[in-house]
Amino acid sequence: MLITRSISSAKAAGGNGVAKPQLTSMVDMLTILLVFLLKSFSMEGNLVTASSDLVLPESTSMEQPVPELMVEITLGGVKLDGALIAPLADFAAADSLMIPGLYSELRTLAEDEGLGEEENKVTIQCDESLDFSIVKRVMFTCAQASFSDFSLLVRRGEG
Amino acid sequence: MNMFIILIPFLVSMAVFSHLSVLQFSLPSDGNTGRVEDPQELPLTVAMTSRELAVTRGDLILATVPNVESGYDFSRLVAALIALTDGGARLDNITIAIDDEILFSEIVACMDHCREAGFIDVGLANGTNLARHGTEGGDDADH
Repeated sequence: MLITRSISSAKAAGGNGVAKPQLTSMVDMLTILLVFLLKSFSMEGNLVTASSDLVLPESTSMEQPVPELMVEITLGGVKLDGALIAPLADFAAADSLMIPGLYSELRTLAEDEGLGEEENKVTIQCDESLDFSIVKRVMFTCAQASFSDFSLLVRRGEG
Repeated sequence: MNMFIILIPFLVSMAVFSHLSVLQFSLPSDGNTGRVEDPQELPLTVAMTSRELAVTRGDLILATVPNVESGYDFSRLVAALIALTDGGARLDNITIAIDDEILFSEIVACMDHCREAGFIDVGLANGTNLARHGTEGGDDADH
């Protein structure tokens, strides 16, 4: 409508009939877009990021994650703060629930950080297609290394 | 105008399209394994096996929820838990006993449904292999 009107007014004014974009309506549109994006923009930032090589399960939980020690269980193995500690093939079929590599890393970390023997916090990220036999080994090892206050990182689904 | 051109791509790149949450859980305390005077004081346990969900208290199987074609029947589990807790059972904690072959996504779904039934503190434990022992003596969740 605006463009038609501007064409006709341009013709009436003896112009060559080329429509010019209305800067005012474009700024209006961009302002609406800006407000929408600012609203969805989290000022808290991404304090916790999901590992790129796993698919988190969906949950109805609305509890905000906080940054703490992150153990990732991917299809390739167990990672501690992004570094591969124990390949899955090394412990998946073992009789013992303990994962030696992960245990020693966690104990080193606890000693370096001066953490006590009480329940220290750990967040577990696990691929949704892994089974409990893998998860329980990681949980057991973390608990043995004094990290027994567990949280699971999940994707927020329909609540 | 130039400000918009810079600001909008920046905000689009920073927008969070997948929101993350955490699920708290605990390991069963040692106190649960000790002798309890009143069996009604024992917390409920949901046993997840590959073929069914079973709600137990101690050694007693209170309800079983067989799988449907699409997998676990969590809606019937929630109904069974609510029916059981109407009698005054403890609502604060529940333990999910999980067999080895259960997928992590199913475990998270079961934790969500336990919270939906009113249980605040959900614990995870190793499975009891109920499938191996059978479920004789247990009532179906329909009853």
